Amino acid sequence: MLVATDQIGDLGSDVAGAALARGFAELADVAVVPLATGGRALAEATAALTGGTVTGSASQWVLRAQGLVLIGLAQRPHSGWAPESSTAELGEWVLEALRGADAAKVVIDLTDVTAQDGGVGLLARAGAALTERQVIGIVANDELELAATGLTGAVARRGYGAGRDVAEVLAADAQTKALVEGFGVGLAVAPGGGAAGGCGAAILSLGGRLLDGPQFCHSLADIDTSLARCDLVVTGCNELSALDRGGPILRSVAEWAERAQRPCIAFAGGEELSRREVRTFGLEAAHQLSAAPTANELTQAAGRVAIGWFGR
Amino acid sequence: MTVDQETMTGISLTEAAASKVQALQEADGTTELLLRISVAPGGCSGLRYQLALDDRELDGDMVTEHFGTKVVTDKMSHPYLLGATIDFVDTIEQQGFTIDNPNASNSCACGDSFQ
Repeated sequence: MLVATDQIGDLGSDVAGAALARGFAELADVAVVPLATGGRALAEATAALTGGTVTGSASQWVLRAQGLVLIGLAQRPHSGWAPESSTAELGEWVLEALRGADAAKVVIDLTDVTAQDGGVGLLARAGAALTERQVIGIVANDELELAATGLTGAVARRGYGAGRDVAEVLAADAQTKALVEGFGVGLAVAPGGGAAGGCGAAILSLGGRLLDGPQFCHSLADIDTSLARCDLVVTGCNELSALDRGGPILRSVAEWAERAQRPCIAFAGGEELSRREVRTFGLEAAHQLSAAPTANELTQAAGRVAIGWFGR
Repeated sequence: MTVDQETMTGISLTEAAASKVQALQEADGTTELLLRISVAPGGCSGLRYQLALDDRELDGDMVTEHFGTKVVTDKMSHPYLLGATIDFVDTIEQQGFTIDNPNASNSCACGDSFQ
């Protein structure tokens, strides 16, 4: 069976996954894949998958593993509309992290980037260091298809969302279009180009690709192979609600399991939902957890459920 | 409903809507204002209409005149409004501007949001 979970309470996804796996281990062979959407949690999950080491601070970190460098930086949040903000500090950090590194694959976590400069600062500082490498940008799931410009693009979404006037939005959209098209023709309307304030377009201009956190972990762990060999998929999250369906990680795992035609169950906090509703999420069952369970509590909960699936 | 068909831009304004705009202009003390209709991301169906009286003409604006009232759309919104008819209804059930937009595949009961 496969355990692929989000973080649960104070437990990181690797620790939570291992705790759930221990509950099933007496009755089944278990593969554990930690997952995260971004931030330091993604670096930790990637470290668990690759054997790499995470260094740095809470605001900027780097993971170095065999042939791979994952770089992340958390910028200060803006009030929704900040066209003067810059990704130059991200570019500087990427440049520093790559100094002396010969890794062919560079992963830049853009999920905590709040600047809205179209990735200009990133490219200006680190563009040269990123050429000739395989570049992956990690973005939020709902930004994978987001274009930089146009009525449904990032600039209009942000500008109108912040209550800006049509003239101001149009001017910013035209400015972004000019900048991004400078990186490459068609990038202003390319899917994902508007992600992370336009950093998506910068990554695409380098010949890179954009993934969300679960997709990246999926590719690292070759989850499709595990899915083909497993009889049950177990996932988990802090809160399973009708509103967000457990969040992007639980939604991704349920989707992968459905595609592989494998049953998927979840361990989650939050209000108890009816079995019928849970099934609409692609889950066979959802087992309720207390708030912030310990690793032992997770193992015990998994052990009780394991008997029902695999017998004794 | 009398509709002034505007084939150049594809946006139409009914006589009732034009009269209401003129009444609002007079209340505002000027007849120089344009009726600006724009589309913005948001609302429960993904896109929403914005109607306002405006004294500006922006770069790329499409301006048309219907029953003596000027209607303007910005270049970003224009493709989403081709063939749309703006009306004004004043009944016991409903009062306000309504937009019948053939580009909307789905719309919200609020009337302001579409997809």
